[in-house]
Amino acid sequence: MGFGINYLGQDIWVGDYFGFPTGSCAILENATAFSLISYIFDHMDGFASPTGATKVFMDSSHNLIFGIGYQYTDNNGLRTFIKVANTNDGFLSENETIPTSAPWNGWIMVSGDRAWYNGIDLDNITYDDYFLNSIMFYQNNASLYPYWYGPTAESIDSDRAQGYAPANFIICFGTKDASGTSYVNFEGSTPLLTHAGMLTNWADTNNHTDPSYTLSDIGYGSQYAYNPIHIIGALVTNNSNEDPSNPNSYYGGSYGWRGSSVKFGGPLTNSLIDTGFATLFAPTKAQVRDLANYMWSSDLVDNLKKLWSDPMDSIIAFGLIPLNISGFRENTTSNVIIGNIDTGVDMYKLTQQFVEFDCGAINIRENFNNALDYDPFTTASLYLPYCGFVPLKANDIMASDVHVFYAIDLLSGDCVAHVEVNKYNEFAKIDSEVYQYRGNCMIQLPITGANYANFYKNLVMGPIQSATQAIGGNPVDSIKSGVASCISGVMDGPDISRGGNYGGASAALMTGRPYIILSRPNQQWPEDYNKYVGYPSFVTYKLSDCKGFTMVEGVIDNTVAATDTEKAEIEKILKEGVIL
Amino acid sequence: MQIKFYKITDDKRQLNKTLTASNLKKTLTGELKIDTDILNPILEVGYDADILTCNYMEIPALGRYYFIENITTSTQRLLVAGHVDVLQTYAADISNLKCVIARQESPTRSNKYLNDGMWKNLQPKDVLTCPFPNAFNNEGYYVLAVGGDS
Repeated sequence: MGFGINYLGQDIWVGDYFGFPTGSCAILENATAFSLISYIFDHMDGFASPTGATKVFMDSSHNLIFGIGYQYTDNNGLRTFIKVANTNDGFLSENETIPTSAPWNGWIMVSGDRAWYNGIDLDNITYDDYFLNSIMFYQNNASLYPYWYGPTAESIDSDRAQGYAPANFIICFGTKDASGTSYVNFEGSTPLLTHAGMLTNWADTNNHTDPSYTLSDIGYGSQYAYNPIHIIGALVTNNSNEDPSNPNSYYGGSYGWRGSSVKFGGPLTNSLIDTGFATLFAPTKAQVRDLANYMWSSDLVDNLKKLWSDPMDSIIAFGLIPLNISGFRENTTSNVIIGNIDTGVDMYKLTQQFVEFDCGAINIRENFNNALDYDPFTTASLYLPYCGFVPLKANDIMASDVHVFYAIDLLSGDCVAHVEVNKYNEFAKIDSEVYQYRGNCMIQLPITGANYANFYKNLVMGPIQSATQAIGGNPVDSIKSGVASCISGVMDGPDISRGGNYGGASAALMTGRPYIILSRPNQQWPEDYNKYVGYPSFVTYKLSDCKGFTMVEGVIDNTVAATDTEKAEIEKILKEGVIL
Repeated sequence: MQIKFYKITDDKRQLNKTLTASNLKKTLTGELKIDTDILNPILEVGYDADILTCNYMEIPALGRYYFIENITTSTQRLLVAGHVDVLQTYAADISNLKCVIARQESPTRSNKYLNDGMWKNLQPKDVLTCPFPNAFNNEGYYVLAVGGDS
């Protein structure tokens, strides 16, 4: 349960937990309001120190309430108990003991990251929930002696004997008086409060002059312990959508002069391979030949098996990819099973469907060291293999490292080229993906398949020889030429399907290395150009700081002791250019 | 009033002109013509051929420096027409002016990444290719997808 406080227009996120290191003191100082410093601590070690964190609760009046607490460790881990005081006394009796079992009535029990009050799971409450009898402390006119509110030496020993670690902290962020409406100032009657603090390192002594009982740097002298604070300010919403630190936040952040890096996070980790519906292989050339030989073998029995199972339809895709995929395959081969038939052909299985290929990075340097290196004077384009030529903005890539890498789907050959730019100079600071283009890098290899299921079913009783010839020879021509005409029951002939997309063949014909093409101007630069024309400036200077040809855009404050006519002429001449 | 006549070679746009004893040609006494504009005075001086080649003058009484725009001869007199040189006259004040500089001779006082707008570039452009280090494989690797879990 996270929540925050809006203080002077600023959201301060308190978070769920507070904890304090040994010997520290959280001091919040403000004369008329409070300033809340949020501390988030991890587990702290040490017997005499709070370990873990204690939940902060807020009542209906938005008081953050804590209580004196005890901690101990049992089979359920570390537990912290915070006494929820009554309205009237609010104090722990000296011999107050902790309930040994749920629901731990009267106590807030914190264990791990959960908390319960009177058996109620406090993780399920909202900040509007009201804690009855949840006043933790209030003080009367007397000074607050810690040992009245905490364990005594005797009780500490008693607690220890029971396996409890004595209370070692008091945390207070708010308090009420008996009427429940005002806040008691430790300093006096003024209801505002100046400090909130926490004592750590209780010493097991009744000596309230022990420095460990004091809040350091406050100089309370004989006044010890804490001062509760009055929280002023509207509570911000507990809606996690407005929590900037929430990863599911709708709010994406405000970008002024600086942006934020955006990069490709990698392809999907789940793929077709994981489903069992298909298997990707990375066969060698010899293995492909073995499979082809098997598929077109003339073994009748094998053919029948294949026919019933229509193994050709089991081949989803077959292609060439211009990427060494040896690193994405298993170390050993596996049998290729097509259409539930073990082909007896071994191939390497691919372990992932989506892979990346890094083309590397190059640095594009300025040539002119001026505006000529940028748009519109210098233009740039990028050749991306399997995507083509794409335009680039010179402004994006100049004086930068440009990094190109591909994310590739080994099943379809679809690829996306990612272009990242990294630059850090006086003009731009970016390390992010700025371009993305799609293409296809697979050369689909056509496989002529035939749907023989219906065809051979009817051929069991028919002229097998003809069918055999059809398969043994050129299956396409044989089938087309005459088999269908002589086999009863198969008037239309077997269906022939061709797999593959011929359009992808262009991938075989493309340059495989990306490159940037820069087109730069050839500048005509007359001698002493700067002395007669000058370089563009648009900076404010005192004229005495300038030398040589100077043309003024505007005079900041014409304080020349001259007539108006002369002043006007001075400005006119300055704008036309003077020689200093 | 006293008038100093110079012959200078400085550019008119120069803030501080070179006014030395060597280019001071003559100091004469003259008078302003009646109803003359002190920014564009016409002075009458006695004829002196030495000033006929002068192009610059100082009139201390007016506290100004002038370009000589024209010299008209008259019987035994010369009429010298001038225009105030505001740069020389107010050089010290002008030097102390804070200005937004549009163009400057020194590269250290300029911003070279501003679009100059006055560059002249040749039509033929310089073209270069910048290859990336890693290329796709030109051999090709087979990928076979079959239905079912092998």
